[in-house]
Amino acid sequence: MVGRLIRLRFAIQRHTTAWKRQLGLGLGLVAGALTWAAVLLAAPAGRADVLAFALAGWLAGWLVGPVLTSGAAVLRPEYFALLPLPRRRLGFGLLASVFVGVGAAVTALAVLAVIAYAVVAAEAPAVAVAAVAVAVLAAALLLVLVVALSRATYALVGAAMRTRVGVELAAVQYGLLLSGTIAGWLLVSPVVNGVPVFLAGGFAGGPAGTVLGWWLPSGWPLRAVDAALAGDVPAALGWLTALAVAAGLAALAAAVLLAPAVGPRTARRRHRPLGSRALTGPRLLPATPLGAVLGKELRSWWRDPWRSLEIRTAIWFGIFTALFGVLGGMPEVALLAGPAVALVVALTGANLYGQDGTALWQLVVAQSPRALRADVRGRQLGMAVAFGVPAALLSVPTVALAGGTGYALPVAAVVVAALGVGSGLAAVVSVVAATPGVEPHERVNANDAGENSLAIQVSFWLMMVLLAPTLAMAVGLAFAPDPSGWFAAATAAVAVGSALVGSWAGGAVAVARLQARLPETFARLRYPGTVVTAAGGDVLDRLAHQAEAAAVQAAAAREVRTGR
Amino acid sequence: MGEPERAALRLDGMTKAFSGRPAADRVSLTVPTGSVTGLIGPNGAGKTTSLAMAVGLLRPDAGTALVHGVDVWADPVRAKQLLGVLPDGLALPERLTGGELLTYWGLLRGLDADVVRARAGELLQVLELDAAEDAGVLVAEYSTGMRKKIGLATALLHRPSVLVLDEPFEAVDPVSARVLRAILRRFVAAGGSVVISSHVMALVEDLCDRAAVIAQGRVLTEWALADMRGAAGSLEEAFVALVGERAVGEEELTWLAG
Repeated sequence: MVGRLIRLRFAIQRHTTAWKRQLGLGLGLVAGALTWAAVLLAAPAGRADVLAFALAGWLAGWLVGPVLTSGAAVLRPEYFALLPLPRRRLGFGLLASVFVGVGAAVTALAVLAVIAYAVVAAEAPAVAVAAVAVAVLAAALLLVLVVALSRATYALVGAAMRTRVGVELAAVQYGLLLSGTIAGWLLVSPVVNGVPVFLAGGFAGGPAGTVLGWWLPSGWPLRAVDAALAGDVPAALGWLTALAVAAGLAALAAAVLLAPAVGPRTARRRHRPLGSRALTGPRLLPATPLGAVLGKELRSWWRDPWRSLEIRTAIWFGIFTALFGVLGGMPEVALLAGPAVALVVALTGANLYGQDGTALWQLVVAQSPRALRADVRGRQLGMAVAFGVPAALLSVPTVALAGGTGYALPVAAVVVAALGVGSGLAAVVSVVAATPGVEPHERVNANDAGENSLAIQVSFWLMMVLLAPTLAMAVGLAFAPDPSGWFAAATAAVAVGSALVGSWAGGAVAVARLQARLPETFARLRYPGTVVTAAGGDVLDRLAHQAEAAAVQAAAAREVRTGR
Repeated sequence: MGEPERAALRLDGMTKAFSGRPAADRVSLTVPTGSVTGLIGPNGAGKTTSLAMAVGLLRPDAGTALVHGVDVWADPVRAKQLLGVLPDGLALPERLTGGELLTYWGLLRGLDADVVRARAGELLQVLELDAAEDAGVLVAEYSTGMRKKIGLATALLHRPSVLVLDEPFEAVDPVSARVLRAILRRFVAAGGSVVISSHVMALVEDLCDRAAVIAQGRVLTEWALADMRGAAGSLEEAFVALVGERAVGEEELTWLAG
């Protein structure tokens, strides 16, 4: 069975874009070479720490990588749900198929650096032979452990979209990645500056060395080799056994988790959902079309795992950005936490209609000028509330952390402007670049909701441009030695003005566009790939055309993968 | 609305091609006021495409659709007020309960809050979705049959005069199907008109007074069912005679069972 699965995997991979695989292979080889170089270049005193750090990097890469790259599981367990195979055996088969691939091969190459570590450190040939034997065994076990853990995490996050904890897990990973790309340089620059020191002395007995070298299983091969080098056979065998047990547990967990999920799509609830007594309870929102849409949107942001994921990601993005700032010695960066959450509105809202899948049919058959306005404005308000509340809550401690109420107004200004401008941009882009994902009631994985990377790029840069006046004023206000009262008032005015104009104008454009082409917007979600918008026209038309072309390509790639 | 002799729904030359492949080819169909018309045809015949064009969900390449004389594509807002639509297999606001969905939907349609509350409660009860509502079950957790029923409730809520239902009985249990049929009969008795698509012949025969056969994107024929029965015996025989049958030969599939 494993052989067939591996052949199927290669058959499907032949259809993915070649440059992606080649880029992956290239990056993998570079990382593998760096791991070997680290061992060979490090001074004896720091060598163990350096290699422990590199191996921990491989472990982290395997844990985070497949979750973040969309459609990482080439063979989805659900494909095989109807085959007459024991579920556990299928799970092991799917796990085994992962080992035959570029990622596992490159990782194997990298973990074999443990052998180099053994050879370089050995003082006598007899010791070297034993140490190399231990190193080979340990490297193989580490490879099994890393790959199995990776698959287990991926399956957990997929299955986990059914539970709050799982959504949180995925959100932490996304948040870490986002903040890493924006504020990660704060951590990277000390590391880059410190490379020569690190190669010479490792962590110099610091806690990082203990954690990476002793606590994480990625450091255990080094402990086993060290024990072998010291002639302590029982200790070496002990570390190897520990590694084998860890690898076995990870493989078992992965096999269990990789068995196709056939249970209910939502976890069992103990209580009615919050605010669900629509027919018997009191009504808090106005009984108008706008109130109806706002109520639906707020409930969806709260209850839909894929929408919660967006909010939770935004929150973790803010938290990690603040953390990087504090760790990097620039507590002022922590002030960005609240604005960071608000900033995500423009990115995550860029596919509001796509998020709901074909549910847009309801607006089409209930079409009226009032309903269209209510739909767009209600969605904007919903977003502003769903992201505004966490942004405000996160801003309070970070302003305190950065030391001073003087930062409160600038931070509030940026948050308000970002929410307003973001909700305006999101409305336009969601209509113009509506992109279908997996239909809402069939979603399983964290990245099933569908997104349009082009639309997200456009939103992000437009957001930056439109926020520039507020940002400039806020930065000036925050760091001016003695800002006057009118400067503060002007900053507030610019922020509120940007927010009002941005949200109003964006919403108006979205409404006008929906009024003109509501059935076409629906068709893009209902018949992806068949209705191609015309090239040419105004800026929005051209963006729509580009976005649809990108979506059609993505859909084609997805169909090849899922074989639908 | 106006003159009673006007058809409730009239499709004329509705044509749609997807990527050059015709899905509906000059579909013309008349649904008289007060009738239940069944649209029958094999899989992929163009039933869903035709109905989507008739209710404003899919813009036709050519042709017109009139609801009580109002052009769906020229005056969509007025036409859509007259229509109640149940599409097949589309998403709903999945994270609402049935009651929340109906409340949202009624208010979006501009109905009064008290009217919405009363009608929604009654619809849930008649369609036997009230137990799920009491338990706070979300639409995402509904079974396929329950989704059909809540979809029908949304189609009825604003009191339309023409119902267009795509496969309304698919996956609905026999007891609920009787309830659905009773609802549709009451709707027609009160002056409404209904179009349903289906491939269940017995159901069309039992419920409809007219049937149109559609195959390969074309309407092959329209029958008043009373006349047709006299001529061909059963609807299924007449249908098969019309669209043709692929017989299973003696030598085929001999490995099955045994």
